[in-house]
Amino acid sequence: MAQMPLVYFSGVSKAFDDNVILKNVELAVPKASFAFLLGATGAGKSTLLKMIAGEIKPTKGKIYIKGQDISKWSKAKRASWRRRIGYVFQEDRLLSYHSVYENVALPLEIQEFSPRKIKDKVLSILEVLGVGSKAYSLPEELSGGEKQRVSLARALVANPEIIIADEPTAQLDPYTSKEIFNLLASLNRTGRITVIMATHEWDLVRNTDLPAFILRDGFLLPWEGKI
Amino acid sequence: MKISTSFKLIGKGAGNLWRHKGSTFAAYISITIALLVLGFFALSWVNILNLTNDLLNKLEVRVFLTKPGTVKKIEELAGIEKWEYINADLALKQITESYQLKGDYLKNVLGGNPLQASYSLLVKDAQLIPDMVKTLKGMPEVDEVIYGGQTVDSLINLQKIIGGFGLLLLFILILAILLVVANTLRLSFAVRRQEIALEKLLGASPLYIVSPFLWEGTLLGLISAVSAIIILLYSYRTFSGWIALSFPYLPLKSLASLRVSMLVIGIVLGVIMGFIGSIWGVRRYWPKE
Repeated sequence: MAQMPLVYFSGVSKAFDDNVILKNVELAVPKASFAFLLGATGAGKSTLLKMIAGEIKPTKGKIYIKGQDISKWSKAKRASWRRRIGYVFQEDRLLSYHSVYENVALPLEIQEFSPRKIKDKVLSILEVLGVGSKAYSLPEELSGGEKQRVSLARALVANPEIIIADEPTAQLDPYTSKEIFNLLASLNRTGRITVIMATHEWDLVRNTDLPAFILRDGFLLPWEGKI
Repeated sequence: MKISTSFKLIGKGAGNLWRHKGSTFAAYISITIALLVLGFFALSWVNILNLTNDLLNKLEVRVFLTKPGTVKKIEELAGIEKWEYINADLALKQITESYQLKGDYLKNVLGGNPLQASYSLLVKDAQLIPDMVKTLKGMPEVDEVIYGGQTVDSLINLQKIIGGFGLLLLFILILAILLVVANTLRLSFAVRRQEIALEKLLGASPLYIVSPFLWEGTLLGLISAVSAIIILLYSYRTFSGWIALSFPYLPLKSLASLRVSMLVIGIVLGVIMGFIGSIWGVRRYWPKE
């Protein structure tokens, strides 16, 4: 019997007023897989990712998380699912008046970990991602790559089941961009964490053998290396 | 919610106050002034009430009888604290003494004792006097009733006016304080919109998101209340000392008798208004699904 996908979209459509963003999307993301989500700016990548997090409801169709229809979940259950997601955004979305440590500690504080556990986990993840020495710096004191590493640390610190990365490399130079991608890919391989990464960096995708989907005119299609 | 998380959120609320020093200070000054006005009025009201009660308690109802002799139903009237029957001889003696006259001078001048027997009544509650007078006047044994009618009515009316005005002022000032707290919190919420969106995305519960704002408003109310109480206590001490020296006959409430109630009522009022004001301020932004 085939393994139940972690995320499954069944005939999902989404429209904002008359503007149809997603049309009859079918998507299955197996546990511990890595998938690219491609598409031009405004194609609906972020909308699709927000739907996985239960932030946006579909106009039509169903979204299943671990086989459960997300539309039937209570607010508390949806919040609980969000705590299992690690987010990495295009812009770092670090809180400017909090230190790196406080930014990374936020998901653990929300999950009410003990202060000692928070300290251990935050310092260790910052160390792993090579920004341990920046723990007490403010985000404005970091380079673009460092900010994105801190952002990644925040996404990983609470041991997520899935990482939703919404164009995490868009504002980075090619070298740092490749570095962040490698980090995500290695987390997927070694940590068995499911990763969905939205990007419009075709070259990055072309150089891997990981599965990719493209959003075009609202339809989600398997990507075969052609723009 | 765990205790450690609650403390963390209290710290966050306090941090918000510090981070937005400008608006916090403006709100703090406004709330403190409003509480000072409220406190000033409450103290005045307490003292005016004390003064009028003191005056009312000293009021006597004098009932003149048509013929000498005690009247049981007057003595048994409801609401009477103390009564004294004054026969004609005693009345004459009282007048002689009060005018510091000698012996039977008055009796000789008047050619006898023309005074009537009467009752002197002390009433438990001054507000009962008008009704009691009506009852007394209806008795055949009663010739005339004399009391400080005008004074009683004026004092009772004064109490009512001050009470009514006090309630109106209380309502206006409470509304003003709530508005100030709510606006401060709205501003704080708007500034932290990005952080709130992130917390929501990371699965924070509505209580986790809103708690720091509730603490922020509550702390603002508490700090303002403590400041207002300190100023009021100090001012009242100085003022009551001055009154005691300049107008010693004025029965002003002592600071010692007011201190605890001022502290408790002030702090409770500040905290409650801060809390309600913050709920009012963030209710529109309460995280929804």
